[in-house]
Amino acid sequence: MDLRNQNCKPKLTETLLRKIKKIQLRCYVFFHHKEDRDDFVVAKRSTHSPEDPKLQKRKFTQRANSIFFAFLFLFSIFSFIIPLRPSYSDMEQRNLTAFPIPTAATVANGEFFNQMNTWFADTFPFREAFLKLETGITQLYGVQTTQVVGKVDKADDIPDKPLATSSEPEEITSPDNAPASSAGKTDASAQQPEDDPTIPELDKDAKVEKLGAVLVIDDAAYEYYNFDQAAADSYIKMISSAGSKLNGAAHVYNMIVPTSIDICVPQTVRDGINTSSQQKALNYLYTSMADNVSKVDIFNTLLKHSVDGDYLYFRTDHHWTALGAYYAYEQFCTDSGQSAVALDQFEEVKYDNFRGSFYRDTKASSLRNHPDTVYAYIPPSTNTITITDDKNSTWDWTVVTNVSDWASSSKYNTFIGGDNPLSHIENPNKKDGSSILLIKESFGNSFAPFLVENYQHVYILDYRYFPDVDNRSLSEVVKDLNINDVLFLNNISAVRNKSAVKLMANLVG
Amino acid sequence: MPDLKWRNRIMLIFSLIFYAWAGPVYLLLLVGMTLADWLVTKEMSKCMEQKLRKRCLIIGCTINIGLLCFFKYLSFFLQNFHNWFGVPENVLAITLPIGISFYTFQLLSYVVDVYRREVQAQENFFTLLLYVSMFHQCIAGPIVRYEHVEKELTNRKILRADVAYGIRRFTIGLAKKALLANTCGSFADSFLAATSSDSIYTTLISQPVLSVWLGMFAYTMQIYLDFSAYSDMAIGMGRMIGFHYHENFNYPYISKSITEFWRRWHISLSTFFRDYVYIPLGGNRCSKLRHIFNLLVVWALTGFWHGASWNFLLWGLYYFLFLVTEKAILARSEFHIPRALSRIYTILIVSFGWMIFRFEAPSQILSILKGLFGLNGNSFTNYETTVAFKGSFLFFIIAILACTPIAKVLGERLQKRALVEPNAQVALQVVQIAVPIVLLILSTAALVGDSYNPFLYFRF
Repeated sequence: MDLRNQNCKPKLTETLLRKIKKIQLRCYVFFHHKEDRDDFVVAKRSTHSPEDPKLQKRKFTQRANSIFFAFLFLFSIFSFIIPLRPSYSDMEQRNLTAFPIPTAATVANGEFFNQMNTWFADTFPFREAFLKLETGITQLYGVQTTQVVGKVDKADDIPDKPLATSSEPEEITSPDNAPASSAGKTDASAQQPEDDPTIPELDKDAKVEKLGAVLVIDDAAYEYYNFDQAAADSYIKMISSAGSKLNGAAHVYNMIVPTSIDICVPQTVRDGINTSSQQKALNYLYTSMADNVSKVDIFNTLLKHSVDGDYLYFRTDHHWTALGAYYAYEQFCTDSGQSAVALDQFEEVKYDNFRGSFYRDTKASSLRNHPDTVYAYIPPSTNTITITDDKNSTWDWTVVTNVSDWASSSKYNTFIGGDNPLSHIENPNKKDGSSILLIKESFGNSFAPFLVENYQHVYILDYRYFPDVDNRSLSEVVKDLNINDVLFLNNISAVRNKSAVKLMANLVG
Repeated sequence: MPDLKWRNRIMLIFSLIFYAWAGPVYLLLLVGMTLADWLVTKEMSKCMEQKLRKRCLIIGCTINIGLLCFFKYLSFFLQNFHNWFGVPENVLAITLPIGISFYTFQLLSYVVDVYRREVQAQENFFTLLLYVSMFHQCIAGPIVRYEHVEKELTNRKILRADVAYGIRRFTIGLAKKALLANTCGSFADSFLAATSSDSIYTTLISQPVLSVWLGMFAYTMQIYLDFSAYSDMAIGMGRMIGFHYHENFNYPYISKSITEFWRRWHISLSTFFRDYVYIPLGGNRCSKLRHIFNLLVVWALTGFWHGASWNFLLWGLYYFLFLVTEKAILARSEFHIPRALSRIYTILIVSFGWMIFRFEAPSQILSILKGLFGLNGNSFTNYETTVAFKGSFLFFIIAILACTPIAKVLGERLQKRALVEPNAQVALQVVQIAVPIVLLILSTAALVGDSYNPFLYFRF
């Protein structure tokens, strides 16, 4: 380094002297030799040119380096501005990683530093903007009007003959990942009812489901269904056991809701997709169940309405719409010998800008640009529901809640205040003591409001959360609440999910 | 410009912090091994007698290789012992300290080179520690030989042009990793990895033929882009502070033969084995049988260095077979294969090699082989594969181009034009300023969104 400085110093004085001389000459030429000026100036320039490119290049390189390092420095500072770091991601509906607390153990084995890495990436400032940038880039990778997000699980073959039912439900062995058919558990339990509900915060223990593989075609998404023999057989045994346990006490109905991939996808495309036939699976399930359970088969009903162009399923969410649930309600009434109340008797409300679970999992821009609209139908008799939440407190809420100000991802929570262990709707216009117990996961939410017009008491039990607050078995609940009808309502994905079936089996006892 | 001593100290402290980030306990191992080798070479430089020097060499190498074998291979041997003889009962699982394969080899190169009097023993322990733990290459970077950086450790010039080159090289490496390699990886995994409910084998035998091919090529690209990106970043960062590491990759996928492939892939590793195993064993200056034996040893070790598992050994021997065959065939000059065909041949052999590299169980490798030739009873393609392919084909074109020297050639052409044309010069200047910044932002976006960030060479 010292050597270089020594070489620099004489060059510096030389350059300075040269510059002064140049200015002197120029002034002289300017004032005296007007005729020769141009030639002189041109000549002067040419003697300087061998040096300029090198000097220019060095100056440019210096500038380029400085620009980059300045940017890097500012970017680093920016990434460490703690207040800019988000703690909750609306798009992914989850709490982002918190800064880890160092303990002697986690520091020693490197876990603390690992968590810090995750925290740094997970809560990066303007994360959602970066995610949008990333999906914007990935869209350029090819033609993505159709895409499959997630891995498609291998499906078992669906047997042609029904299962020979035994009397006892089978012991279900190791459960899989969390039940795949729940909506995010809402905050309705965390707030007291007010005039204007605030945007809900997701409960820490909320079981935000992970979907299986999702197929996106243009602006609609569909969840793959892979038939699982073991889970299906367990489900059959569980339902049959419920039927025999409640024999005489209550009438047991079973409704399995197909998902949109078999109802809404055009047949030509559907034939090529690697998803199990839901019609065949439903056939197997229904024919294998014991006779003391009444089956409500809504597949053909929904198919017919879908062909007619009805909005039966959300495009950006795995749930069905209230309209789809209404047609199922009609079918249920027919199958149970009741008369269905016409849809125009209900007050229709709509909430725009719903982007649900499919958008959360795929982040597809076609879904972002074409959000869903949630249509809800308020029962004419009452809009009040009594909810028992997961902390065992009881309070009143609305059957259909105004969610226009809620986050775009949470609009399905308009129905019955989301998922709660046990809820009760009483119809003040009925005095016949009729009651129904709806055992459901989140698909039951849009279905429940329609039952209000047919029964004095509608009890809604979410089998995923009920065991947290109440350890009564199904028979005890039916006896305590004087239930006439019991309706099991599951979507077909729950039926292939071993953990979900196990929860139901535990409830049945 | 601050004093070089202080710059080295700062680099050392940060390198040690960087290494400790992955697990502070193993930092002790790194420092301990360096200390042992420093003492050994100090002793060696004091001795004049060849016998004493050799003894020091043996001690140093035993410590290095012994520790490497203990941490990396002991579990493997114990497990196999257990499988064959039922003894010992409990096989203890030893965690692999990160980067141990890289820095052990760097230390070995130092010790052996001191013995061979090719370099001088480093008097300053901290300078040696800096060489070993330098965060540029300690974890995944090129195996930098001590003789390449001996002078630069104590005498570096930081030139503006070097810094500019380093910035470009680093951001290109970062973009290669974050944008290209990770996407190739998730694509490969969508066909070749286990699902939440299926094992790897179940997934593989149910894949259509096209999926297996696409998965194999995606993985091939992922490994190259990933690994060469780390080397790019290391070389770039080194340049920024005045170190000139040697190239580790030279566009290996345009090779025309397996022999050429190994001259272009992981150059630092193959030259290490050549200089420290192959040539001491006799190289090719011996009987034909001995030559083949030397090759066998080198390739078995090369394969095994990559991981403590039988499939890595198999991978090394796979290449051994092809190299020996090529040496036998190419020796006869009547074989003249058109360049395109030889490139196709090479890429096919290399790609299938990566399948052996990736899958541990022979059943999985066999199912891949069956799938490639359509012998697994599945159709050519299915809906999901076609959709995935349609959704990524532009990306693959870019990824394939990234594996070729096309970008480098275009860049050099632009630089030549810039010397004469002012327009080209402006274009070049804009590119040189804007591209690193844009790549940095894009890489951040990709890394922030991706929870998927595998470190493929983590077994080293």
